[in-house]
Amino acid sequence: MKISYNWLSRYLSQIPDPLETADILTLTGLEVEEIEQTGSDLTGIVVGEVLDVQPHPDADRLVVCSVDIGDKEPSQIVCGAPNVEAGQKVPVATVGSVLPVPLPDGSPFKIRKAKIRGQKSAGMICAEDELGLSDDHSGIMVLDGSVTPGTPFTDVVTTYRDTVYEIGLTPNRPDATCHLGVARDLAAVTGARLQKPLDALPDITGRLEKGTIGITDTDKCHRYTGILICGITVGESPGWMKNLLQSIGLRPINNVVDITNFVLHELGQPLHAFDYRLLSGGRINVRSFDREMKFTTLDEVERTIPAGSLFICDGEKPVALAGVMGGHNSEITAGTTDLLIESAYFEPTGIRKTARNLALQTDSSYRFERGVDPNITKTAALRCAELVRQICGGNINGIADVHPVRTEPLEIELRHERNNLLLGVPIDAGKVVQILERLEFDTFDTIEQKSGKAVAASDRSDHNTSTIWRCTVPTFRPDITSEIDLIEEVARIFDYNNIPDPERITIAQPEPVPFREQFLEKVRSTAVAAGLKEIYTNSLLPEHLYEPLGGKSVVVPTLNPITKDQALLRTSLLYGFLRSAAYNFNRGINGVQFFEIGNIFRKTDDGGTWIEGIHESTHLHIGIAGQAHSDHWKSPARNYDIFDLKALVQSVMQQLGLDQAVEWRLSGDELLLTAREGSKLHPDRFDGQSDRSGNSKPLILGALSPVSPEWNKRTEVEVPSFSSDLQIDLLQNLVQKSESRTYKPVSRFPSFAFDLSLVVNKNVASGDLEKSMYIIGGSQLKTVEVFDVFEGGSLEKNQKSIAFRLTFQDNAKTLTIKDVDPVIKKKKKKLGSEFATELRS
Amino acid sequence: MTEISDIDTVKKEITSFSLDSVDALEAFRLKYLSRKGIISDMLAGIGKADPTERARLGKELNSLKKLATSRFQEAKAELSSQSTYKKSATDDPTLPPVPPQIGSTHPLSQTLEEIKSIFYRLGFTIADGPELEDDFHNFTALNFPPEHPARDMQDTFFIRKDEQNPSRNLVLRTHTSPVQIRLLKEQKPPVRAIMPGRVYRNESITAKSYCLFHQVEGLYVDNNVSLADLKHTLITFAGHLFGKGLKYRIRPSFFPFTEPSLEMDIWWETGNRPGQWMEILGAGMVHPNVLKAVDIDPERYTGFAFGMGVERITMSRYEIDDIRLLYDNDLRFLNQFP
Repeated sequence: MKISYNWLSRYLSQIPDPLETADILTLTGLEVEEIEQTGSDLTGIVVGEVLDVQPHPDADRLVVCSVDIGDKEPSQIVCGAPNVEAGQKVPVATVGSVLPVPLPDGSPFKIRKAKIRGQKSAGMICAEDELGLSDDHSGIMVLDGSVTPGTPFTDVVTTYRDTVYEIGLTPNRPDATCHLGVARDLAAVTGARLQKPLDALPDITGRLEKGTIGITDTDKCHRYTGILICGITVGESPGWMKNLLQSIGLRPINNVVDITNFVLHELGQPLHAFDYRLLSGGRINVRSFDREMKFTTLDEVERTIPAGSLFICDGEKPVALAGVMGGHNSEITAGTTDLLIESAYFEPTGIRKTARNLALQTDSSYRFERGVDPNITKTAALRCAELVRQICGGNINGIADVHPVRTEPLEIELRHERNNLLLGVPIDAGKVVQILERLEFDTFDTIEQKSGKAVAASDRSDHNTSTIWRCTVPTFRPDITSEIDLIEEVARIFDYNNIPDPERITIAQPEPVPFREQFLEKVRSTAVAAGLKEIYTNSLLPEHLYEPLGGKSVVVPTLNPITKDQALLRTSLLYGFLRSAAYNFNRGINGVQFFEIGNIFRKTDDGGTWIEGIHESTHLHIGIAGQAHSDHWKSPARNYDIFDLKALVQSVMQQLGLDQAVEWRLSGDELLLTAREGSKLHPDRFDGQSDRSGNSKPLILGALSPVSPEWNKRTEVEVPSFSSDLQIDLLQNLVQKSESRTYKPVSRFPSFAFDLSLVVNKNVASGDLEKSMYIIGGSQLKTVEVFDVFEGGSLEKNQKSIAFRLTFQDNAKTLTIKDVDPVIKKKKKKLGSEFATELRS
Repeated sequence: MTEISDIDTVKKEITSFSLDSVDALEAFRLKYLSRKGIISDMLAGIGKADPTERARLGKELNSLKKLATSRFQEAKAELSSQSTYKKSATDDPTLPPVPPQIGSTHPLSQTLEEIKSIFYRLGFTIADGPELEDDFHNFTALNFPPEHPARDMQDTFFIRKDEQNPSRNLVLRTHTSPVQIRLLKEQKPPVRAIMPGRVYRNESITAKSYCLFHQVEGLYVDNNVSLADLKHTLITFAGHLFGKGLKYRIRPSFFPFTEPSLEMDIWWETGNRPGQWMEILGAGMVHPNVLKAVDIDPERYTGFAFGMGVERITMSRYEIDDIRLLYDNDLRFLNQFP
C-alpha cells in the first residue's frame, strides 16, 4: 500500500522529515518497505543566457552556442533545437548533472563534456520533456528574460515533489489502509495534533424519496448511504488532487472518479459514483443471486460472477459488483450530469469470497475484506459530496442513509497490572491512558469510579498497578476484541525497543535433548563420516509419477498444486536422489555419492503415524551413481558397484553400533537389511541356537539395490546407480532397545587363522555360507572373511569356488590347530549337507 | 694384484674416488670392498709379508678398509637422500593421490545445527511433528479465523480428500507452529522447546520462492513470561548467530497466534552492497486463544513463541541469491560448504 508524505502532512499539526517519519511508521507496526521520491530532481540544472549562436560547420541541423551559465567564461554548447536564439534565457544541464528523465533504456542520462561532430559541447540546453516538466519536445524551454544566468533552475520553476512509502500492511490493520489512519499512528507517537478533514461537511436537509435505496441482503450489506448530486460538470481534477493521486500511483481519470479515489485513500471508505440517469428507475437495490451471473465490470471485462455474490442493482439489472468493482453500464462519462454517490458497509467475508473467486483484488475489495469502519459510511459520503460540490459544481439533491444493521463500539477492560506483567516493563498509568486516547480509545478508570474520592492520592502512584480501565474501542478498529489487543496497542506505541532487557535470563529446568534428536544427528554425522554428501530434495513430485510410485493405494496427492510438478507427496527419497544425480551429470560431474534424511508419506490402512491413514516416516537414503573415481595414474576410471554401496551402509551400521544387530538377506534383486533375530546388540559372538535358518519373517530395516532401468529412464540417469533406503524409526528403535554398552576385555592370546575353500553350486549365496559358519563356529570364531571367489578353470560349469579365512581366538588360551580342527570338521559336515559343498583345501 | 706397499696410493685413490652416481658407487664397491676387491687382496697378502711388519700392516689395512667402508656408506646415504637412488617414474610424491571422498552436511543443516546449539545453551529442548497436518493443528488451534488471508488457497497445499475421510481437511503444514499445539497438548508448563522442520507454501519455483522451506519455531510457556524475556532471548540468539555488537530493531507485526506480535530486523552489510534492514524472525507472546485451545489457563501462564526461516538466514550469510541452488544439489555448490 502506497502512502504519500505530502498527503499525510495534510492531517498533522507537525510532521518529522520524510526519513524519520518512515522510521516511526515502521516502529509502530506499519512497516515501510520502500521509500520512493517522486517528481523531478532538478539538481545541477541552471539558468543560462544564450550569448551567441553560430552554425555548426559540419552539421546542418546543429548550432554552436555560447552560453553564460554564471561562470567566468561562457560555455560552448552544441544544440539541435529549432528555436534557439541569442539573448534567450534557457535551462542548462551542466556537466556532471543527471537529467531527471532517464534514457530510453532506463539508464541515467548523465551530462558529460563531449565533442558533437567535432565541436566541443559542455552541457545541454533542455526542452521541457527532458526535465520531466511536460511532454513538450518541440524546442528548448525559453525562460523569463529577467532571471540571472547561473540561478539554480529549482528557484525558477516549482515542481511537485513527494516522498512515497510502500507499507507492508498486516491484515489486522484495516484502520491504516488510508492516510488519515496512518497519520493517527504517527500522531500517537509524536504527539502532533490529528486534523481530520471533516470540519466543513455539508448539512444535507433533502431526503431521497423513500424506496430509492433498498437493501435486500442485510447479512452482506449492513449500511448504504446514497447522495444524489445534480448538475455537475465532469472535467479534469485540480492539480493538487492529481498530484496526490499520482504520487500513490493512481492515474487521474476525471474529477468525479478522482474524488471517490481521493476519499478512499483519505478515509479508507471505498466509494462509488453512478451516473444517476443510467440507473433504471432511479433506484438502488443491494442483493445477491443464488445463481451465477454474467456481468461486465468497469474494465470492460465480462465476468462470470459466482452465485451468492453481492450486487448493486438498479430497477432492473445489476450495475455494480458490490465492494469490488462498478459496472460498465453505469459508468461516469464526460456527459454525466447527475451523480449518485454510494458509500456502504459490506460484510468482509462475502467480499473476500467474491474477490478470491474472481482473482480480482481492487482498492475497494482490499478494504472491505479487512473491514472498513461501519460508522464512517455517512461521513465519507458527505466528505465526497463536499468535494464534488467544490470541484464539479452541481446541487446536492438529497441523501438516504439505510442502516439495517448497526455496530456498537465494543467495551473492553484493560488491567494495568496485566499490561505490565505481559510486557515485562512498568509503564505508568498516565502513559497507558495517553497512548490509548491518542489512538481514539475512550478510557474510563473503573477503580476511581467505584471508590470515588476515597482513593488517596498516594495509592494512585505509579507503584499502584491495580487500575482497571474500561476502554471503548473505536469502530475503525474491528481487530481489537480483547484485552491482549489493547496491550499490543500500548506496546507498539510505547515502542518495543524501549522495553529494557531483564537483568538476568530465567531458564526453566532444562530438559534433556530427546533421544530421537540425538539419534538423527548421529545418523547424519555417520553418513558424513562415510564420505557422503548431504542433499535436500523436493518432497513434492510431478503428477506423472502417480502410478510408478504406487498409485491410489499408496500415494498422497495434493489438492491444488500451482503446477503439476508439485502434485504428489514423495513415497521414497529415490526420485530426489536421481534428479540430483542427473543434474550433476548434465553439468560434467562424473560421479556422486549422496545421502538425504527426510520424511516420506504413504497411505496406510494400519492406523497412521500422526494422522489417521497416513504413514509419515523419516528415512535415510544413500545413493551412488556414475564413477567412483575418474581415470587416475594409479588406476583407471571405475564405476560404482553394489559393493561400494554395501560398504557405505555397513559403515553407517558400524558407526551406529548396529553391525552385530543386523544382517543382509537376499530377496530378488534387493538386498534387505534386517534385524538379526535373537541377537543381543553387542554380542561378542552370535549364538547359533536361536536362529531358525531364516524361515521366520525378519524385521526389514531397509533395502539396497541397483536402480531399476525404469527409474533410470524416468530421471535420465544413464550410468550405473545404486540406491539404499533405511528406516530411521526402526533403526532408532533397535538402538534404543539395546542394552547399555560395557567394555569387553580384549584377548591377550594370539588369534589363529584357518583358510577354507569351498566349491559350491553357483546359486548358493556366499552370505548364507558365511551365516552358517558363524552358527557352527561357536564363540571362538571371531571373523569370517572372503579372500577369493572364482569360477571356470577346473571347475564345472555350474560351480564356483569361494575361499574363506576364519579367524579364531580365545580369551583364556592360545589356540592351535588341535582346538580348531573339531570345529572345522563339524563345519565341513554341516556345510556339506546344507549346501552340497566340497572342500578344496 | 696390488702390493701391500701400495697402501698409501690406494688410500689416496679411495679418498679421491668420485662417488657422484649409483654406478660409481657400485664400481667403488666392486673395486675396493668386494670379496675380490683390492682390500681383500691386500689382506690376503699379509701372510707373505715380513712377520715383524704383519701387525703394523694389519692395522693399516684395517683402517684402510674402514675408510673405504665409511666413504661407501656416506656416499650411499647421500645418494639415496637425493632420492636419485633407484628412482622409478611413480617414485614422485608430487603426483596427485586418488581424491578422497569427503562427506559433508548440507548448508541448511549447517545453519540449523548452529541455531539448535544456541538454543540448547539457552535451555531449550527440541520437539517435532508431522509435515502433513490437519486443519485444526495448522490453523484453527492457532487462532486463524475461518476467513483469514493466510488460509488462502494459493498459499496452502491442501491434500486431496479420499473416500475414507471425505470431510477431513488435511494440509501440508504452512509453518512449524502446529508442533506448539501438539507439544502443549502433551506437556504442561513449563515448556521450553524449539521445533525445526520442513514447511510448505503453494508457490511456483523461482529464484525467490520455492514450494517448501525450513523453519525453526521456538516456544516458552511458564509463569510470568513477558515480552521483555522474549526480546532478551531473541537478542541473545541473534548476537550468538551473527556476532556481538549487532545492530537490530524490533517492530510490531501480526501473526494470528501471537499478541503482541513483532518482527526482528538486523542491519545487514555485505560486500559492496549498501547496508539494509533484513528481517530475520517473527515472534510474539502466545495468544490467549492458543493457550485456551490446549487447556492452559492464560491467566496463570504466559508464553512467547518465535519462528525463523533457515533458508533466509543461510542465503543472506553466504549471499546466495537463488533459492533453487539449495535444492539442485550441484556438487560444485555443495563442495563450498565442507
